[in-house]
Amino acid sequence: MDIEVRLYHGLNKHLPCGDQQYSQKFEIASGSTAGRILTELGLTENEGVVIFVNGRNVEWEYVLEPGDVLVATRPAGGG
Amino acid sequence: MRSGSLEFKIAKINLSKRSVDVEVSPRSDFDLYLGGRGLNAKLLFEGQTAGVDPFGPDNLIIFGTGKLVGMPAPTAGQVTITSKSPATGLYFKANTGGAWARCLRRAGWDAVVVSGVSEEPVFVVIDDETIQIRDASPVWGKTVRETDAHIKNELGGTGWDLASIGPAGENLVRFACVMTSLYHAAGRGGLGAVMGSKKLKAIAVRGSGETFVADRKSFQDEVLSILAKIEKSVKAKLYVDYGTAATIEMANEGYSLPVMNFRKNRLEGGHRLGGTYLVEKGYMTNGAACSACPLACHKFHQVKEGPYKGVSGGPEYETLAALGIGCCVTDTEAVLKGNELCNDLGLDTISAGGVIQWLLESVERGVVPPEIGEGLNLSWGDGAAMVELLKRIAYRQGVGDLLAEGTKRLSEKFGGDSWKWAVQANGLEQSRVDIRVAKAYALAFAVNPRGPDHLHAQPMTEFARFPEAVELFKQLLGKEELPPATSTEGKPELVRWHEDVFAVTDALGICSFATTSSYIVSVSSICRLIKAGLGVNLNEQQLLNIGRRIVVLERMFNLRENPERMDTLPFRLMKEPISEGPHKGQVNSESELRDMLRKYYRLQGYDPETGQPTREVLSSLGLIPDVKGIEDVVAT
Repeated sequence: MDIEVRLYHGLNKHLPCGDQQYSQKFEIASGSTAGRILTELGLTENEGVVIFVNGRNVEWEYVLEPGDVLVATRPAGGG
Repeated sequence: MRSGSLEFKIAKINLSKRSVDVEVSPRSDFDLYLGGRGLNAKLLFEGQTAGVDPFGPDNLIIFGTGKLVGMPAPTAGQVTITSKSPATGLYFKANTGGAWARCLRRAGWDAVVVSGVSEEPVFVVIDDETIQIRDASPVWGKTVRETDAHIKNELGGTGWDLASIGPAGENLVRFACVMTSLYHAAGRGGLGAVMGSKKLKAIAVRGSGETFVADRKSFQDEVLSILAKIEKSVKAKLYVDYGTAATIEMANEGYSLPVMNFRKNRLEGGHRLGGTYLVEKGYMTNGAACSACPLACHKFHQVKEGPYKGVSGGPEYETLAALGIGCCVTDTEAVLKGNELCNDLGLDTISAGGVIQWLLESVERGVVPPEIGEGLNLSWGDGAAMVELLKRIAYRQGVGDLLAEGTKRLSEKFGGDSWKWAVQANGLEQSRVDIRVAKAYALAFAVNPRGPDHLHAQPMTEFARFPEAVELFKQLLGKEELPPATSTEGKPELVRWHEDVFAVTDALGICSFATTSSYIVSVSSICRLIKAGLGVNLNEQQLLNIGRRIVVLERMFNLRENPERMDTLPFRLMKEPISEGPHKGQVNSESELRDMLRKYYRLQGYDPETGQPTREVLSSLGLIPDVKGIEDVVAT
């Protein structure tokens, strides 16, 4: 199944598509979790990552569906 | 007296009389209010009566620093500026960084109170003990940068820092800022316009005094402990790497970023205004940190060529969200030019973005004719129009003269339903947080004496997105399982704690990004800094009580000004549910807000229906009998 991954705050260096890109589409195995995909990209659970799927804040174990947009950022705030 | 004293040395400057008096307030003021925001609140309450004209001679504007400023306490470089707001007609305090606060403390002063109105433009010079009032005619009409350069050149020597206003303040724009160190804004409710009304262009200060630290070894140990926490903090690293601009990506992808005047929550292409993009594309570089600040969130930005070529400080999240995302402008360089203009003209970016979005929606809905723009394209997403409108606001030209009054007055003027999309409460445009998906924020905004914004209590912990926030959340609620941000459960308790800590933070002159935003500097750590730095023993509860005393005193100022004032939120956010996306249907209903308010009032010991602090609360906090006139405000 196809999903889109968007990474920011320096995490985007893990995207295979190259420097200064933030988004890439992937074909993944059915039943894959958000954590598994991010781990395969080189992120680790203990580095303080905030995960969204289709705009909802989810946990590492969230099971992805076809067409999902998986986002990982750092925990920003303030302004 | 130098910085080791626990008394407060206050300069009282009357511009009508061109006089300067020096007062020393008693040690008891430190014990009750700590200084900075706390001392300012007492000075303002006692120094003026209800109903004074914000632009009149009797409205004071007070600049107060904290006792930790000037010491190497991490982030202790802040000044609080307090006055009655020309935007809201109510209590207003704004906090800003840079180097001004440190210069004032090193000059030996804790606070500067300005009253009266000068007949001619003036600026004040504080050079250690000496205070002068000088002619500012050559810089009247000049931008913040031009003013800074001219005055520093006139004064000569080194070590000067300025708190100044731009044309927006001179022209009494109701959301004009006071700028310190060129690029740091004491923003929101029009404190720059209060200075403008007094014909006070700037206060230049430098100081050569030494800072007294009571126990240097213990102080150093605590500082090192804080620095070690910063080193480990994910949040701190984000501040260092991207500043607050990093919030754009998270809020946009989390569908909590207000777009089109709070009608949508995500903008396609919004990442072009995010910290990642700004840094990686070379627009944003590391800037000059505020005094004593290892977080160094303040950045510089540059546009190297083209119509928006320029360099300035920032931008911050709120600026990018208000001038860019909210207006649907994803042209990075146009938004950076907007930020530069606001710094130079002395405009608050949040309210500026708010009035522009109100205008765009009003034109879209036919309440305001498009011709009012005199050639500008008043539709969503036009960066050039946004940039031009900022200039017109600051100089009160054409439609800018109307926008300079703020959305509340604008909607009253144009009528129809336009008040419904004036996203303000009590006269202040809301900052760029969609509080329909964050209920602690909603409550914090409603009870904020300034109006609906994030700089009274910033209950970041409700999102529980980083380890320090999760730990605090569990501690405050006494639970392992935490309610989501969209739940009202436990939120009054969170808000109360954040209000108290925020007030203490401001009163000592440290930065809320270290305390209530990243939770790196804990309450116990503040107690240790006070003990080591000032030689005063305070436990955590005593410190929180001081914060509470400040919060209640500020509330009493507003009660005296307007007993009808309500703790409330903008109409749109209480009546219009989010229309699409994962948070579709979320809203702040009146009943939900009322329920949270009742719980919050009970926690505070206020009247649960009116929200008025009772005589018992005022007495238990020592405000009765300490604050003159406060007893007269209590309901009988």
